[in-house]
Amino acid sequence: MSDEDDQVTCAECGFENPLEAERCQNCGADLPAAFAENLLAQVPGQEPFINKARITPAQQVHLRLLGEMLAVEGQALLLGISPRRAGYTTLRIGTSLVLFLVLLFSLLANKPVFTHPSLTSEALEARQLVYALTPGAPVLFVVDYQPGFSGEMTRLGQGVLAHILAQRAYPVFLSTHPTGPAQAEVFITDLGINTGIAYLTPDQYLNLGYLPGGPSGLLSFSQAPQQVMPLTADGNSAWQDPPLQTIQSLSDFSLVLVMTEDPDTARTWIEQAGPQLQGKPLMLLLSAQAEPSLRPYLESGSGQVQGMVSGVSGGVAYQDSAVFTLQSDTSGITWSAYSLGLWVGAILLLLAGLYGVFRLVREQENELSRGDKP
Amino acid sequence: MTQRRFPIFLLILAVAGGGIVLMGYWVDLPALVAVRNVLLRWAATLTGVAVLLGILNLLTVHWLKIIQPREGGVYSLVMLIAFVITFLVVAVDTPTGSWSVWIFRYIQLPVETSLLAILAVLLVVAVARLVVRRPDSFTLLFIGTAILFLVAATYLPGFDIPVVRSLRDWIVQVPVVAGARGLLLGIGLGVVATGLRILLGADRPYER
Repeated sequence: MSDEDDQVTCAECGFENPLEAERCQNCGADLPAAFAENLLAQVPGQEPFINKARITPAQQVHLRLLGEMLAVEGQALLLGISPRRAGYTTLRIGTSLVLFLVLLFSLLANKPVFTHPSLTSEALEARQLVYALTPGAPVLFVVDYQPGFSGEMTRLGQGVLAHILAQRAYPVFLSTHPTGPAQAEVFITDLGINTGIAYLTPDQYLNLGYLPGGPSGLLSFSQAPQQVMPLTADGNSAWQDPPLQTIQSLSDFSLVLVMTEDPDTARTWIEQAGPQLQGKPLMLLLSAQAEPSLRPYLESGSGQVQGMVSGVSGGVAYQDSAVFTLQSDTSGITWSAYSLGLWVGAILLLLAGLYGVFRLVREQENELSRGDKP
Repeated sequence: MTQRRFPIFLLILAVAGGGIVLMGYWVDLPALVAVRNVLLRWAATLTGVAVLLGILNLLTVHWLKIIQPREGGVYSLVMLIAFVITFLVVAVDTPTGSWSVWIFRYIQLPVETSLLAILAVLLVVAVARLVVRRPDSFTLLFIGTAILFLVAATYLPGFDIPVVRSLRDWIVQVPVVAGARGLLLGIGLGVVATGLRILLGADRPYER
C-alpha cells in the first residue's frame, strides 16, 4: 500500500491526514471515513468497512448529503391538525356523503334515467365470436381480476358469459390469481341466480383453479394444458370427459377469453399465450382503466386480439344486444346509478375548478392593489 | 475459492436456462422444446413454492410480534387466527367448496370492494384539492379532460352532445393509443435489454 493509500484528504482544507484520523489535523473538520463510520454505526449489522475505502471529494459530498438525509429521517415530526387539515377532512366527508346519497337516491328511485350505450365495433366483433361457438365448444374463460373490481367486472362479464352458455358452449375457468377460483364460482353462481338456471360442474362448466408461475406458468399451460393443470379446483380429474378429452394445447380451445382489470396481466396473456393459439380467437373483457393501454393490440390488425368489451358501458351494451334475457335485469337501475355518480363527480370537479380560478383571480387582485399603494 | 466458484455456477445455470428457453422459440428441435417445457414447468412449480415460503415468512413475522409483545401485536394475532381458519376451511373444503366461497363472498369481496370505493371518493377529493390549491394551466387542462371523460362515458337524455362524444373518441383512439403504443414499445425494449443483460451475465439478480 502506498503512502497515498494510507492518507485521506480533508474536503475542507485539502490537508493530507492519516487514514485512521477522525478529524482533520489542520482545520478540525470531520473526515469522511470517520463520518461514514459514525453513519454506518447507526445502521444495525453494518461493519465500518468504509475506513478501508478511498473516497473522492465528490463522494465525500454525497456521503455528507446522505448523512443529513438520514439524520432528518430519524427526527420525529410533530403533526398537529392544522386548519387546512381540518378543512380537508370536511371536504372528504362532504364528498363521500354527496356521492353516497346520490347513489342511494338513484337506486331507491328505481327509475332508469340514462340511456343505455350502444355496442362499439370491437364489442360487435366480440359478439360475433361468441355467436360462432357451436354446442359443446370448449371456451377458456380466464378470471384474472382483483376482488375489489368485482362490481365493474361482474357487470361487464355477465352478459358475455350468459351468451356463451346460451350458445351451449363449455366454459373452462382458469385464473393466475389465487383468489380466481372462488371468484369464478361466485361469478357463475350469481349469473345462475340472474338467469334462473343452476349451472352445474362438470356438466355445464369446469373450474381448473389457480395457475401459478406467472408468464412461465402461462406459457407452459399454453403448450400442455393437461400436464400443467391435471386436476380441477375441487381435486377431480379435469380432462377425462368430453369436450375436453381432445385438448392437447391452447389452440384446441374454440375461444380464449381473458377478463382482467390489469393491463400487465392482459399483456402477458396476449404475448405468452397468443402465439400458441394458431389463429384461434383471443378476446378481452377489460376494466375501463385497462382499455386504453391494450387498444393497440386490437387496432394493430395483427389479429392478436379479435374482440374487446370494456367497462360497465360495454357490459351493459353487450347484455342489451344479445338474444337472451336475464330474469332479474337490474342493468337499467345500476347503469343510471353509475352514470349519475360520474356526473356528480364531474360537477364536483367543475365546482372545485371554478373555486380555484376565483381564488387565483382574487389573490392576483389583492397583489395588484398592494402594489398600487405607495 | 468455493465462494468464488458458486456465483459462476449460478451464472452458467442462469445463462443456460435462459438460453434454452429463448432458443426454443426459434429452433424447432424436439429435444430442445422438451427441455424448455421441463424448465418452464419447474419455474411454475418454484413460483408456487415461493408463495408458500412467502406465507411462511409472513407467519413467522406475525408470530414474533405476538410472542414479543409490542404495539400492534393484537393485529398479528387476528391475522394468524384468520389465516388458520381460512387455511383449514380451504384445505378441507377445496378452493371452490361452499364454505371457501362463503368466506370469499362475504368477507374478502366486501372488504376489497369497500376499499376501492373509498379510493374513488379520495380521487375526487384529491383532484378537487389540486385544482383549488394550484389552479395553473396544466391543472385546468387535466380537470377539463377528466370532466369530458366522465360526462362522455354516460348518456343523459338531452345532454348527449355528439361533439363531446366525438372528442372523447378521438382522444381515446389517437393520442391515448399513440401514448400506449409508445409505452408498449418501451416495455418491450426494456424487457429485451434486461433479458440480454441477464443472459450475458452483466446483471445477476440471483446473487443478491
